[in-house]
Amino acid sequence: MEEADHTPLVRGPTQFDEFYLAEYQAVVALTVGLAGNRCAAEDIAQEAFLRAYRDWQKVGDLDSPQAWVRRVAINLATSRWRRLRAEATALLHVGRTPNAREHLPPEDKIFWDEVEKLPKRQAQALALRYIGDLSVREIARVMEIAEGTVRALLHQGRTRLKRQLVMKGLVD
Amino acid sequence: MDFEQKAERAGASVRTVAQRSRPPTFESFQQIKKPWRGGATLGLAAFMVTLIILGGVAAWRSAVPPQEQVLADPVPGGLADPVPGGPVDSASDGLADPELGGPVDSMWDGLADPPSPGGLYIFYAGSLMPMDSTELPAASVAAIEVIVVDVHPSIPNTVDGEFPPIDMSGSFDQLRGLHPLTQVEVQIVDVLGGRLDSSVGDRVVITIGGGLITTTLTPQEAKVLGIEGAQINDDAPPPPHDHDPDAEPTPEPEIDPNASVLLSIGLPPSVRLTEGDTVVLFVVQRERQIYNSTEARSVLEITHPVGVFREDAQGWASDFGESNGYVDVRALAALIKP
Repeated sequence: MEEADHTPLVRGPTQFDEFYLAEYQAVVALTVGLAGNRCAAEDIAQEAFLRAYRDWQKVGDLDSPQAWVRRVAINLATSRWRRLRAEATALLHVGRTPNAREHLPPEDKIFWDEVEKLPKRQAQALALRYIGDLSVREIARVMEIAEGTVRALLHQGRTRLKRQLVMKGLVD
Repeated sequence: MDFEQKAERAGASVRTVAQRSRPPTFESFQQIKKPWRGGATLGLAAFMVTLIILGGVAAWRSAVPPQEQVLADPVPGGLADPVPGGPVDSASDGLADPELGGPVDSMWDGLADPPSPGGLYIFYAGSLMPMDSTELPAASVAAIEVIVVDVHPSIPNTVDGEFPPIDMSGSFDQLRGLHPLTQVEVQIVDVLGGRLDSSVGDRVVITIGGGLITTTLTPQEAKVLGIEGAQINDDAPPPPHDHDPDAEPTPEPEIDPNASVLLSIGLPPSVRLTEGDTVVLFVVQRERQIYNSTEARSVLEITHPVGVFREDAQGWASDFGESNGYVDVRALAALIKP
């Protein structure tokens, strides 16, 4: 597939609140895709923004604070013990833990459930590609890896994922 | 449908779901930026139920009379959905009604939550939501002033109170229905409103959702949960690679097959109540479903996280209200139907 070459991860607003408002839902989307549980996903997204807030003097001066906060969020979302703690916190304070993917069409839920089973880096790359709608170059920037590595991760992830989805009869 | 079409559609679906998430209010950042205590502060601030009273006494005193409005699913120690039958987590489900009038959060003008008629706010999933002050007495059977006599160790809401066995197939779902419960023995000092089978001087046991439960996992169990080598507790510092994207990722820890892993869920009950506390509790008698069982037990519980109030020099403050405001709980208690 031809990768889009748009560049949404350009230097954005320097005020934290503007940055936060502009990016929050996009980051939550990434964490929902990777963490599933909505409360945990929001918690993780908020933690990522909190870290940006605390270090805003530094983060705000980066070429792409958007990439920085996405990197922190996907690292948090795929760190299983962090997720466990976030979900445990959600259990305590919420009483029940709505799974964000329950709101998805069944086939899309299965898709992201299968993504979650992939190796961490492949799952991150796929989430950035299909949820974040990022190009290979942008994914490489977020993950701080070479573009060739991104292509390899996407290829490996797609191959494994497609195999699972074909077995479930969801794709041709 | 080919794979790319499927993937694009699945991604778009997630983006749509995420659009229901509202950014948390500025308070969460204000709170957590003060004393940073690792992830604990964030977890606590983002998910702890916080009652914020912006209008103060004047606002709720002018509130409308009690309505026939019942909290849909009041989870003690957790958060109820203030909209009967409404989804617990939707920000667009009617919780936020800008037509209600009342104080506005001036700290976060661009994100100001819709005002609450009673001046009551709860924190849910990092968002500030308005709450009608009449909801609390409407959902309660009684309001009692009590002295806390004993706070029992917290237990999971399992049939036997023991931590459930870990599903070794690798599923993470076995923890989803697990809640810490803490039983608190209190002596009734005064019945401020409503009716209770017990009377002044009696000791009653009240179940409060929340608390701290710990268990020791085998390395294999921990591996199933994806927490091998990690001690899960709220004071654990974040891994360096999580905190600083520039740092090298932390290597996966070596697994000692003879080691055990401590799993802690929740917060100590003392966060809410300790022995000797004098508090006012809004309570309800409820059938509580037990984890992994069709069995239910009848328990006396606090109605809602905002059902615990403690007195200080300035009046009756909510348990988590900190310095944000105060309410006259006796007037609220008088609204409970006998």
